[in-house]
Amino acid sequence: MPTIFIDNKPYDVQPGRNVLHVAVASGLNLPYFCWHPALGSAGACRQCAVQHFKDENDTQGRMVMSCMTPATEGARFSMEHPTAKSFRADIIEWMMTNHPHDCPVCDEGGECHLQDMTVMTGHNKRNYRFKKRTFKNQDLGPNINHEMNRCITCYRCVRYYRDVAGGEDLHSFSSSNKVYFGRFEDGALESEFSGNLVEVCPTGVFTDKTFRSYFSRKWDLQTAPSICQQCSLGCNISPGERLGTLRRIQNRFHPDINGYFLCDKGRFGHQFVNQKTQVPRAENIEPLTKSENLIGIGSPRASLEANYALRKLVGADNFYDGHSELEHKLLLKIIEILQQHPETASLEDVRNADAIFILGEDLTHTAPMLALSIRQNLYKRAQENAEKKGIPEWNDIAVRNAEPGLPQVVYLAHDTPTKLDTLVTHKISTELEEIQTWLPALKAAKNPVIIAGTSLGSEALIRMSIELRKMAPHSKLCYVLPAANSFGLALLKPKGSPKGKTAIVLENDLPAEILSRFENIIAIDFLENNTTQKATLALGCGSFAETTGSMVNNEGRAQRYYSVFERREQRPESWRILRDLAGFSWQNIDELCADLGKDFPIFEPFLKQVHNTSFRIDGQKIARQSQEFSGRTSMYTQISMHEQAPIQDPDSPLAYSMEGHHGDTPPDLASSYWRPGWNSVSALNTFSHATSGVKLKP
Amino acid sequence: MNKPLTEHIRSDGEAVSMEDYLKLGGYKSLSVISKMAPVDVTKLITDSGLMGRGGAGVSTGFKMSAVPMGEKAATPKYLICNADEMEPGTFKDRWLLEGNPHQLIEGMLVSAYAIEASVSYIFVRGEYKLAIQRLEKAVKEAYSKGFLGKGLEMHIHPSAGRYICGEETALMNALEGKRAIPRSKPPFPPAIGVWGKPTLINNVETLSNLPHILNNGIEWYKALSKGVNAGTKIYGVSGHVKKPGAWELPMGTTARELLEVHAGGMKDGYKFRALLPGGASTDFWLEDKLDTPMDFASTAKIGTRMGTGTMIVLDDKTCPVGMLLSLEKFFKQESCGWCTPCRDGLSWVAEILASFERGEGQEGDIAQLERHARLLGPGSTFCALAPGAASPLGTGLKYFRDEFLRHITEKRCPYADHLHR
Repeated sequence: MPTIFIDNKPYDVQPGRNVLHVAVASGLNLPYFCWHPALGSAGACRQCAVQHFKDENDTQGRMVMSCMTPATEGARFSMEHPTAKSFRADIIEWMMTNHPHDCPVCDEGGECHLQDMTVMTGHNKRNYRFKKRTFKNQDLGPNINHEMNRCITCYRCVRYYRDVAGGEDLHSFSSSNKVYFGRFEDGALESEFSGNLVEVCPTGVFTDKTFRSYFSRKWDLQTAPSICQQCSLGCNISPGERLGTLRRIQNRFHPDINGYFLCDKGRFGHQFVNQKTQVPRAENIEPLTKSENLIGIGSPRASLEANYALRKLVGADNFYDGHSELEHKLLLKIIEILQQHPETASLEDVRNADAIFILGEDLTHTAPMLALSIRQNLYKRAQENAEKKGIPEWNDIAVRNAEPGLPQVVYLAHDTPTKLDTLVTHKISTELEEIQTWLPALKAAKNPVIIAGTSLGSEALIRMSIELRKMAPHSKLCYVLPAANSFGLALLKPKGSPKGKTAIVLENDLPAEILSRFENIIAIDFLENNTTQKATLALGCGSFAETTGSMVNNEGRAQRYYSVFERREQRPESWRILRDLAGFSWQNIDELCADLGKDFPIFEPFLKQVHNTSFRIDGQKIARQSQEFSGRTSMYTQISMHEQAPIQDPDSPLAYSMEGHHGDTPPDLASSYWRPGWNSVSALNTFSHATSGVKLKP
Repeated sequence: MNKPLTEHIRSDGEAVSMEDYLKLGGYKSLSVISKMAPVDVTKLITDSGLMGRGGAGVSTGFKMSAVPMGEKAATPKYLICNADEMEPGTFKDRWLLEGNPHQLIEGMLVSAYAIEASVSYIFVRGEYKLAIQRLEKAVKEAYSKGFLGKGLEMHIHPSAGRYICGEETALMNALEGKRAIPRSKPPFPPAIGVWGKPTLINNVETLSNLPHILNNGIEWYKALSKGVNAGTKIYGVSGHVKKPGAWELPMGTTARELLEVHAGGMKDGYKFRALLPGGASTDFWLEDKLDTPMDFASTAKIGTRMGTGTMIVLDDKTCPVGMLLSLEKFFKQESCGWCTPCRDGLSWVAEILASFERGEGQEGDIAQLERHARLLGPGSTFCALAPGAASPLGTGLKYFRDEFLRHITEKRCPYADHLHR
């Protein structure tokens, strides 16, 4: 491992990094703008200037941009050298000449990378005495707000939107100090990944419009680590709540899954949590009298714990799958395959594969982040090729210029046009004979990934995937499943074709045909739907944002999501409703999981690893609220003028409080990142990121 | 006097036709190179001492030898003629493009042979409509005569019009249809250039030299010069002189000879104050530098640059602050907006200079301008545009400080009443 010196202190370097990356990852306060760990270096903003010395005796040095300078063995740099230090302040001063300084009314205020960097460089006096340049803003649709006057022209937005996400409708227009980032004309951004602009933009040009409609400052949000519920990939998210409403969702870094980005469905599709629900709150539940004809129908969108509680209540013989008949059949097949071949591909594996074979999935719709991972894969291939020509992987623009061609790694069998088609070099129909022609390429690949799934309802394609896997035993399988916890539900071995007299339907909206099979229906759900309306008894449970539970994603990775907030009129977890219906004695999630582990040893490795409710750091629970959280004495005065006691959380080592542990936290319990001087999402980059969740072996 | 580049350019303003060009010995150098190995052509050009005429003055042969050769080299290789002549006060390439386009095509054939390029582009300033017309005609003729099309294809790409496209890496981006912003170096274009392939980019005047070097040899070529660097140079003079224009003269002709002999001296009623030796991106020279031979080595020796060798003369009746404003406004407008110092720094400079001309200059402004002249210098920006803009600004502030102060104390431009402000 090479060592470099920054201000005469040695730093170990992961080979192939640039000096800025080393400095930031080492926790040094070196300001920057255009660099981003997922975008690489551009050298545009000139903010990260440092002095570079030839050797120990060189005191003069030469100013270089740390993002464009490789960290090679023994190289010596200085951040404190007056030339580089004052230059960094000059850069901020230039950027600020046209910045409106409207921080008090800007959504980004308090989590603004530009604010942080300005403070960091020490620039505090305005010398520019002329009129600021102004722009007209655009309507970019319902999700993203546009405020171009705040732009400091770091080019991150277009580099992300166009180069990383493959969007085509965001451009940089004009030149000089009038560079404009926007669309050709007003209109909703077309990319499925537009929401990441909010986090990629270092200031308040692109902000979350859904958040803006009911805004809160970052420090006033209560957050908890959570898992996206929108598809089977299990991306890690950080939802934020204030005054009993979910305000926004931000990305939570996971190296093997979502990395730095989320899809728009995951980021913006959370308003259902705040919807007024007509399903009456479940309270004072009496245990059911046992009846032989009582069955339970599980749910791929309910937690593992809830499904297990239902199964325990009705018994293994009466526990049915909440998927459709066809999906049930396909899942059985997939589980059977994975029992033989448990090595599934994570999104990171997809990003690193040298060939990707997709059988009948339109990934942009069925698992959007998988589609983005394929784009990222192609870039990684370009980086590898460029590296052979001496271009370091972080030199983003040089990599893209050196490798203009499309790497020939994506194979797609699909019968209709898909949005990924532009990246696909080998597209064929879903005819099995045609797919057979892939074999030579599959065998030749070093670490191929085979992607299939349930969306086309084709068992033949799933069979084909295992045929291919058998021919190329070094390949990894990746199945796209119907919902967030499809895998978890399938592991509980539910039966198909539900029948009986009375059904407990867990968090599911079943077709009328199935509902008509039952005399009585007890529906447990968060929002009303056909099933709750037809139910004899409807019991309201909490949404994912108010409950704690576990889910198993498409690769078989079990992960826990934690409740972000508790409503004052608490809506219980489904498993608590089922516990009361059954008369079980579980007091918290640990007690339930102890039984789960006994009945299903497959979950043991996960249950051992997950932080149970007694986990403490320095004797404290981990605070969900920031140290700057405001208004706790007054925010619920409509209920009582006395300060409310904090709600207790029996199911996690997290506290609904600003009191408790702050700072370094295990990755599966961390929901916000902060370091002194780093209040924006960029604080993330100064932390090291271990993977989390446990891959189960069915 | 030997004027190989321009001797055949017609006085009636018409281009040298294919017929005439062949009669005058045109395309003869192709038979010379056909007997040589490509690397020997490069070596000959290196030995001739030809330095790039676009302004930076890098050895042309050295640049050519950086292009990877042999079977392992990536293909296709590209040769690009940089005809995006947009440097203020510079109009030498236009003369060659309009007057003798076949000479350029022949030069490109020589260069392409040496680096084994199979595709070539002439990236020409969009406003050079006549040049484009004549190039298109000449390229068509060269195809029909079989000079082009066998080993080399040639395309004419009129620029959409930005000064930054003259920067070779921004030119490549523009050619690829991308935003015209410079690329970071390394990688250098000879290794990884346009569309990721080896690319050589040379100026019009540079390429036009090649047939003559091949035909007449390096001794002849070196003898053309009376300075340190070889060959002739097309010099130009603009400003309030008696006969502004461009002339092909021995390399190393002094600024004084250009000004006093070829341009006929200052117009009556005007006195010489200063000059910018090679377009707008060079330092101001006062009287004391007039006897400097105008070549790359001699100007470097006195710590300045010749640039394109086409000088702009400042007289005593023109406001130096106004001249700087006009230059810096140009640089500000042409900044591509990629890096912060250039994008926001030049805008600030232009704002301050404009306020001086409005009579609103303030005391701290001169220090602010000096700070910018220092900060925009080499090493802090992405490319050479801002350092180019800082050259006249820095020396202007040094030489014309009193003029700046007069603007502040008189609260107006002291030259405001003069016709030529």
